[in-house]
Amino acid sequence: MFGEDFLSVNFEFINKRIKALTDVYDSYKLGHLMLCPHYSIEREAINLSNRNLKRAYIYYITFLMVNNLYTTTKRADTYCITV
Amino acid sequence: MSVNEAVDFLNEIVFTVNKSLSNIRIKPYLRSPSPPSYNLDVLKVFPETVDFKNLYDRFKEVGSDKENRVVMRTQDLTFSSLLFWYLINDGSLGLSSKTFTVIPAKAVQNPDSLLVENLSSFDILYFKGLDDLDPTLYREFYKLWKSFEGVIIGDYSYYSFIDYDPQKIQLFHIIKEKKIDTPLYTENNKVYEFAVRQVQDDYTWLTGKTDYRNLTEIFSKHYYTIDSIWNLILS
Repeated sequence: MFGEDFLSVNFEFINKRIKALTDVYDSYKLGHLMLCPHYSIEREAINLSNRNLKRAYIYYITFLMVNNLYTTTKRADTYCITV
Repeated sequence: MSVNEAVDFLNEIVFTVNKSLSNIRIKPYLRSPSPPSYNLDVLKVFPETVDFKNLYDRFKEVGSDKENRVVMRTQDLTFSSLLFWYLINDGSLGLSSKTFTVIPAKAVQNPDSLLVENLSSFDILYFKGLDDLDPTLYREFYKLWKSFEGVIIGDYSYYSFIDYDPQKIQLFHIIKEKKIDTPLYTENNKVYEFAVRQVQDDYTWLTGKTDYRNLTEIFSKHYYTIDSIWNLILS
């Protein structure tokens, strides 16, 4: 699936450089899943703590905003500003 | 936040960013955002068949607070997630203004992550691939299922046979009253065509091309999952 390779490259980078950021990376993955639930991310377990989930939601809103600002397609407009 | 407030907020950000960009002499600038002119309407997107209508009606009940548990049985987990994406972003159902989170059931390992206190800040929980949930977590899942105040949506594979598996049948007993079939590929050809069209749209959106490969193979007598269709179109 599309998202997997792209995300795993980032994972390798983050995991090798800064080990303390794995929690942040978990939220990043969850944020992507919220944006596109049909991505299949089948790697190791994700830490689903309350803090990670909330951070993931912030990432999700950020992704929505960036999509809305940068892309001009009709599809980007479907990400309505309802949050 | 109303649309106008949101647009004001975004305009402010764009103004600040553009100011910094002009300071470091980078062009082009960000354009100022316009309010969305296009509302997602799933009734126009989905094919007009009975099974899609049933799914829409069930989610309509969820949106109007009559129902708060739905579990979708599906032949293709990617497809059901895509349907979930459509339904959660639809303006008329009333789900788009609620906070939600996606939990891949495979990734849950710590029983604490299924505690109600952990998840109470969200209105909607979407459990992706419930049949992959570890059997040691069924107890916690049952407690969550009984006591969570918001909406729980889940999906599980048609081919996992959780109603026959001696261990997974416990999970089946928890969710059996709330299950609904998503449209099945094998039952109606329109559903399969819809799934293929989604992949084609995404492909065009990402690459800007319309050179879909292996279309004859995709529409031969076999049915492929969305992941396999991606592989065929890209190969």
